[in-house]
Amino acid sequence: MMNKASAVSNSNLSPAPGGEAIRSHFWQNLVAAGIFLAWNASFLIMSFALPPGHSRGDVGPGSLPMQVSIFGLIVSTVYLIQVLRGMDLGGSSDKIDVPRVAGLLGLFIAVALSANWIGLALCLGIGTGVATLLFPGQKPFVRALATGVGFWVIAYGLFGKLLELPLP
Amino acid sequence: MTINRRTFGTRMAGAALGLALALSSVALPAPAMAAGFPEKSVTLVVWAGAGGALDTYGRKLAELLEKESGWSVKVDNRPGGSGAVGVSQIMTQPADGYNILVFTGTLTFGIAQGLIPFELKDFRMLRAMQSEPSSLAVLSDSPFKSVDDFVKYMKENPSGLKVGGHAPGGFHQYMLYQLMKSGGFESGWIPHDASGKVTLALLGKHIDAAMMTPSTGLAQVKNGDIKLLGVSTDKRSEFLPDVPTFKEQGYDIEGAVWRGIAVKAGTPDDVVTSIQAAVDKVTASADWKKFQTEQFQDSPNWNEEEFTKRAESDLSSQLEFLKANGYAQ
Amino acid sequence: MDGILQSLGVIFSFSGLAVLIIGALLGIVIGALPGLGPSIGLSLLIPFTYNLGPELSMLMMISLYTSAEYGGSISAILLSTPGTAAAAATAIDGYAMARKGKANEAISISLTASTVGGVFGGLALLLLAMPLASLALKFGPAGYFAVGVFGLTSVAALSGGSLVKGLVCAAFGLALATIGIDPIAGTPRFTFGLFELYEGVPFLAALIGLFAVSEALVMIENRVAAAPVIKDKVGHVFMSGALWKETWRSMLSGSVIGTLLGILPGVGGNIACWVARDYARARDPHPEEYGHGSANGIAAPEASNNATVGGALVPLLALGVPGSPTTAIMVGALIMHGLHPGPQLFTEAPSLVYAILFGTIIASLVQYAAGSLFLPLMARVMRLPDAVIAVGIMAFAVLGAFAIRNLMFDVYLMLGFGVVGYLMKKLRFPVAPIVLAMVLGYLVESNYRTALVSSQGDYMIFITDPVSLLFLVLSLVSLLTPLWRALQARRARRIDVDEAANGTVR
Repeated sequence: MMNKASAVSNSNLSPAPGGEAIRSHFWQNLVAAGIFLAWNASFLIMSFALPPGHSRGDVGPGSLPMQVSIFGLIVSTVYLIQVLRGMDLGGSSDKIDVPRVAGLLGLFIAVALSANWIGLALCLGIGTGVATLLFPGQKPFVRALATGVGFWVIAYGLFGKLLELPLP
Repeated sequence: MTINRRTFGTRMAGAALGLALALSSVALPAPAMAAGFPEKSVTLVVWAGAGGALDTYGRKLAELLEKESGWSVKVDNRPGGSGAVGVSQIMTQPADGYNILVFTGTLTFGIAQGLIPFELKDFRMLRAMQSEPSSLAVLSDSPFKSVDDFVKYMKENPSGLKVGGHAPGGFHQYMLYQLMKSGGFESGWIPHDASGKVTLALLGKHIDAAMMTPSTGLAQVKNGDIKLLGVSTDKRSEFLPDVPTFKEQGYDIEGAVWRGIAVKAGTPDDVVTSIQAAVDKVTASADWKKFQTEQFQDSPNWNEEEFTKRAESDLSSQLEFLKANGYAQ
Repeated sequence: MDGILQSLGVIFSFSGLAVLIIGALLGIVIGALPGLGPSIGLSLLIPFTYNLGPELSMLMMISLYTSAEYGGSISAILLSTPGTAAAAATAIDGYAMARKGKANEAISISLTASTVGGVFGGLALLLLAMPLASLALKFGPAGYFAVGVFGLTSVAALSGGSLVKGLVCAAFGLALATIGIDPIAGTPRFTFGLFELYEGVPFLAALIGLFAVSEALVMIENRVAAAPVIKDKVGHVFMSGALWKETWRSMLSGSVIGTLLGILPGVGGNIACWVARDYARARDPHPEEYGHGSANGIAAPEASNNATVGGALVPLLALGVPGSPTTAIMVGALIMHGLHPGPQLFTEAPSLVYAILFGTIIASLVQYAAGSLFLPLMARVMRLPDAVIAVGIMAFAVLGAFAIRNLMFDVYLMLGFGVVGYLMKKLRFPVAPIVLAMVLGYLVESNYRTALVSSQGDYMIFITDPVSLLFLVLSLVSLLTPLWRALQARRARRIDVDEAANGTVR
């Protein structure tokens, strides 16, 4: 009951009623549970490889990671069971807008990567300007230009000059 | 619309390219002409974050290099990776003396533990400018009055006292290890992640004795809450004339954690000479001497040859210590 | 007595007030910029205080320190980008409130609570410095461990809908916290040879990625060009009487928690904010509002993180030992003026000590005035179109992640956390437990192991140490209470369901 409440809040589109939404949540949650199981299992395996401690009384570097990953395995398993039993644990009901999300993310990854060549401030200026074009709205180009210049000024003037950060 | 966007993009790209070219031509390293070194601003790469003891030293050095030698100096904090980030920062730059590393004696520990993926021969260690010793500290109501008392007790009760200090496998534990070897006793080590916490642990009786830099608990040393049994300097420190050295008490231990400067190996001799001359002006200045006194710092002032020799012998004995205690293979 | 009068003379002189105001303005801006916190702010300020004399320079530093603790909440509320680690808890309710169109209200709550917390911490410092200092000494490694465990019990409260999801996230955060060089044995763990990870996953990079970048990615999915949400009248900083009545309890509890936790070295606003939020939530008649823009969810953490300032100064003044990186920089500044902090300062330089004591209180008040100046500007930020805000979040995230250690590595890491956070938001995973577990993981592990090394492997130390015992019992209570309540609620619901089955459906 609580879970459904959380699924509805935050999303402006009300979720499709009935079985379909729950079904898609089922797959989402199943994949997530699988990922967390895998993460904790690999963490456990890696923590076995850590050397033992060498001070008297020390439980060693591997001890806490081991406990944490075992705890993680347990809660992920509970999560998996809950999913398999058909509980709706909440999830995204509308499709992810892949091109735009990937576009925004890709743009900023490109900004980060190219910062070493033409400088972070300039990159951010161009990146933010172009990024606003991904959003709907009026007068996109004026907005893009203003945003780009604005953030270039902030990055270069405030962070680079005033705070003397060694921006690449 | 599309045309509009395209022309806009091209223009931006063109502008970006032009600006990038303009910037890179300015930033291109000019061939190092020693006679005129430095021809542009010099960067002090401090391998710790802003605000700590190393940063304070780096910024003072920068200030005095500007004042005494007329250089223009930038301070660049590159914390992270136990110093490895700062070291790689100078190693990826040309060996022209324009990037000077400001670093501490933990360099040799880092190399010995395999944390800093470089060797001593990758550096020209130019000058050690500050150093601080370690000391054996107990509370004033402790029954131990001298290093001998402490050693005797530890011999009778192996690991009978909780001894701790700053960092696992660092300088202070290394000094305890030297004391253990020289006194023939065994002791555990309780590491703390900040030097201030060592003082608090001692005052709160969570540890019985500490190996620590005297200035960390200065207020308590001065008002007598904390008693220093021995200090790891060669002669009595001018800041603590009442504290006997380990050597005086028959334990041949001497060591200090230093702070100094280095450049990348392969930096031309004439550039190094110019840097040394500038540093000489700094160390001779009254400002520098006042700064050292305020900070309770000894001035080892080792030159390149002695500094390198020290670092090499430190590295080999620390490697042995780290291996004996399981910190390195 | 002379010292007191002298110090008040300095504070209320023209230059005294001037440095306080400049410090406050700088502090708010630096706190609000992600990646830059009070410690970076202070170290940038030090060179400018050389010529000011010890009293004025300490006043300026305290003012900057206090205001930076408040400033962090501004970007947390407006952009879901906590400016400092201590504002992470504020981001949850603050941003939720701002999205509802009540940014102005959220900021005025944050500003008021910060001021209340700051004044409270300052008063505690002024009246109780010496007795409180002995508190710092009582905490050994076992005690710190227990405090960490106590903090972790609030995961349940942060989980929102599904407790299991919250626990999965906590396990993820704890695992992340073990990355880096081991605190006792010195062995690098899970670093894959990357020395950028030796000091662990940089907390702020994870924080900015999980909170801010994920939010920007969610915003871009809004196809409709949303009209600016804020329709508030600009610029009123005063909280209404009703709001005061609603929040005074959480402000007070937050102040007390912040002051006490601030005294402990290594425990600052970044931990106090979560504990205070959890405490307020547990005692709130409407705990379900938390996470959806609760006024108390802003007031409690904001009061607590400012109260840590007064707390952190306690060991500095009473014992001469800095309890936080920021106060360590203050020690550096005092040394520049030829003074060494510690109890002897009370006799050596009484006017300086009183300037610090009164300054802490007055700096909080100045912060209130300075903060209100920024308010119109901030309301304008919220009037910007979504596109600009989302892109601004991304830009500040990149700059902030870089500013932590001047490393591009942190920027890549931050973007990676952004993707993780975005996917988690889509799947309705709460990200706050990850952040909490990351903060507390290191505290718990390092002290757990230090305690065992010092007891030579004897686990009884966690029970024989009174502080540890106290907090472990408290943790148990805080774990069992919600379970008990849930059981009772389930019983009550069963009755409801039975009735519904018998009766008509509404």
